Amino acid sequence: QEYTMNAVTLAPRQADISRGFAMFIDEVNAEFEGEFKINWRGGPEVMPPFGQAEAVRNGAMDITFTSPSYYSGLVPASSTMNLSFKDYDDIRGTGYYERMNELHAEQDLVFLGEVPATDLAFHVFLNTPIETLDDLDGLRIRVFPTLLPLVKALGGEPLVLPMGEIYTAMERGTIDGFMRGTVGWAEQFQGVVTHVVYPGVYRAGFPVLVNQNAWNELPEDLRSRITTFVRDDLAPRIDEIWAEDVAEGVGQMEKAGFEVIELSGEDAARLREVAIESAWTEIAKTTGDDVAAELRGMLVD
Amino acid sequence: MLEWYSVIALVVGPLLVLMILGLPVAFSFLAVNIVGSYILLGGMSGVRQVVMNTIDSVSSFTLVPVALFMIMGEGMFQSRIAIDLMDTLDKWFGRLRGRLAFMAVGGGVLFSSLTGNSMGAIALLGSSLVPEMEKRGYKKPMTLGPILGSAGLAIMIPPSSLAVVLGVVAELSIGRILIGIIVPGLLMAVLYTLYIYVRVTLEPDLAPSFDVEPVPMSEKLHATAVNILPLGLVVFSVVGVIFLGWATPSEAAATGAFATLALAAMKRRLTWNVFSKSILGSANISVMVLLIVSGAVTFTQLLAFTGATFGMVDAIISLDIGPGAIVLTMLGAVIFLGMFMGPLPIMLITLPIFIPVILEFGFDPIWFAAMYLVAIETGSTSPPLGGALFVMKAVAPKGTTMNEIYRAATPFIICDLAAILILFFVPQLVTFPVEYMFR
Amino acid sequence: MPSPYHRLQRLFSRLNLWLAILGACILFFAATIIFIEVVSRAFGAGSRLWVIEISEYSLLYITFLGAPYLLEKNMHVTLDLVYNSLSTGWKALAQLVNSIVGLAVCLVLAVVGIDVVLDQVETGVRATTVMAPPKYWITLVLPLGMFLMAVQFLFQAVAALRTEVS
Ligand code: NA
Ligand code: NA
Repeated sequence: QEYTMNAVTLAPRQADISRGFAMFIDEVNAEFEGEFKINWRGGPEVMPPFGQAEAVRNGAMDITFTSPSYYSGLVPASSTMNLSFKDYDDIRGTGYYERMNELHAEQDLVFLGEVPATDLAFHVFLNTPIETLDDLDGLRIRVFPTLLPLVKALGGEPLVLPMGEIYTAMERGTIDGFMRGTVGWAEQFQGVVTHVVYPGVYRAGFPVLVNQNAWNELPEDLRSRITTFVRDDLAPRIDEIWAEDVAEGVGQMEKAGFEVIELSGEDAARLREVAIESAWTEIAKTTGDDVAAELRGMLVD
Repeated sequence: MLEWYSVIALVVGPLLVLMILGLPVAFSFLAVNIVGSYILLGGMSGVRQVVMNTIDSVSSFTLVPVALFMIMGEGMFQSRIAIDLMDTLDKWFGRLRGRLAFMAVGGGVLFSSLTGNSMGAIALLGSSLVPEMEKRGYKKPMTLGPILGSAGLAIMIPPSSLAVVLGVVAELSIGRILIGIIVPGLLMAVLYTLYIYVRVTLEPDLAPSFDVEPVPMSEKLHATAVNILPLGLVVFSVVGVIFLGWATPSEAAATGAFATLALAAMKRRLTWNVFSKSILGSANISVMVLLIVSGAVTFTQLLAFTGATFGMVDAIISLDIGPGAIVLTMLGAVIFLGMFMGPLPIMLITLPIFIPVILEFGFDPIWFAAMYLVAIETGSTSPPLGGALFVMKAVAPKGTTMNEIYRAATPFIICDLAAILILFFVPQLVTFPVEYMFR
Repeated sequence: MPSPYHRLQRLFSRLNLWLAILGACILFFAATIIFIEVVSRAFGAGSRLWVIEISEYSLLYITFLGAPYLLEKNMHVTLDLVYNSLSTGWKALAQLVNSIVGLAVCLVLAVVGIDVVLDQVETGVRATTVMAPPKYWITLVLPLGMFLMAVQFLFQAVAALRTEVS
């Protein structure tokens, strides 16, 4: 008997990050042909991205490939997946993913694994030059909630804006900058982004969540084979596909005229430190000190 | 496996039946959403999803300007600022037949440069202009039509939130798109004006002209100074604050609302009665529009889940009819989908497939994007379920039937189609300004 | 002396009106906070991160607080294409069918909505936003509005039935 599950993703099919989801789905479908099949129904056009984890929990959807920060209201520890500078292999050895299993199970969700994208760090993009980290002081930076503590800690003025307003807000100077990954969009912002700050912070990774009832319908042997394949074979290989996207992104930014601001070694180190410190302090408020300390020990050296 | 067209018929059919029976549009959407989600999304879990998606779709900041522009429109209507404006225009152009219809197009163009949101534009122009135009003897085709037509220009003339979204989804330069759509937007305005001119010449009783007594120049100037110049404050409070970087386009709707109330106060007309009527009236219309949006968004997601829309898009690009014809078919498909789906999901579904094909054919993607945006605009004013039509129904005077709205919209849809064809055969209208600006 | 049925109708009518007025107040409140945000930012004061979020929730509350009143006053947008040309008898029949479908829709969403709210209370799920309020506060207004609209559709069904019989 072949078990079929419906899946949605946080991004539309053709988005750059969806390459990782496509690889995951294709390889799983090939590996377990005749036994298990993921049917990719689409992205945000099918289900609102911030509601996908709850949809999976409720059983309206079987699987979601989502963002760690999109369901931290349901599983507060979820957004920790971003808050590290380690790659997938390093984290795999710490028992982090097994611990995430337990934390997700508390909310009746199955955490199947991660579509890792360690290379995709978050950078600050500006319409005004800075020289040192201190120059960020007082600048208005558009953020999403995970990045809020960092921008605050750096003295910036965080702002929340809908995605569709960023362009005009940058163009007119309503905001001075925003934080985002470097891949796949530079050309669209040609003319309104003038500078990009290096190095980036954190890492990207996309949790794969499965509905508990749907998962439990699979035979135990199949469940364990899928988990092993996904975590030990597939994910490490997915973590390696992003280098060329990053290189392409760098080329695009160059073409779009973004000037690179390379922070001094001292500033770069401070940026990393503030990034870790501010974000984990915030995490502890929602997960409790014990869980935060335990997870931090796995993700941060 | 059902073919894509059978699926679309199966989902859209029952929706239309409920609406035609007279069930309010919002509840028709909700009914189909409940049944559809029950079948497709795992029984009761699916119905729970309807609850959550409904909530998600209404609590969206992109809808805030619709409600706020309503305050502006109702405020201008209740405090009779709109009437003063028309009286003044009568003094200047009293003999020009159809002047208020031209004004609606002019207002549409002006307002388009203020906002990026068509629904907000209809809400504002519809509630402030339509009642007074009817009082002055204008018939529906010349009141509802010009506003439906020109409000759509909001997305064609920067700032335009949909153009930005188009750039993001299609991975094209937003700046180039914003430049590229200006001439097409103006072209549409010209076509609308030509149509109005021809129509009121052929059917004079649609837009009466009065034999007004000649008004002395001093009175004209005085009326202009008192009634039109202060409107500059309102215009500045929307467009100026965006330009100066004080507010985003959505936030500017709030400054516009307060400027309108301030203007009413300066004219000593902001009585408690005017104020409360403006706020209650705008709240009522916002409710009508938002409830429909909440149902329509979830409906669209359901349709996307079935894969029927993808099936249609795939079928189009595999047609064996030559590149040019495929481009036109793509645009036709966008208009077709726009008859019952919102713009954003249409973009998410079609653009990632269309744009690579356009590049493969060697066409200019910005040229395609401009025509695509006109097609999106056309779809949203197309019967039976184009979103703009419902907003108009909500703001139009009591007793306006959907049939009248459909009939008023049709000529302007034809103008839009003409605009698409003109752009198709004269790509330079899009490409020349872009090349000039980005040399 | 009005019948208990009429008194019940009047009671709900009052409630609908007051909730609609509350909705209008929320709309003005949302406009005000956005306006203040723009002005204070222009004068160099910082940005209040909750403004956008609160105005989003406001839209939701405006919608479901105001919808029952509009239903009572028959102000919701309809596609009156065929309906207007029906004879009185057919109109009443269509009215009956519509109000029963509407009743079913609103009742289902009210009941399932309460179920979702209870579940959200139990799991303690929060919105994934800056303010991160408990989600049931956001969801709560939907079953409330749906319940009141179910009551309205019930009244409409009774009215249609009476026309049909007479
Ligand atoms: Na515009
Ligand atoms: Na139009």
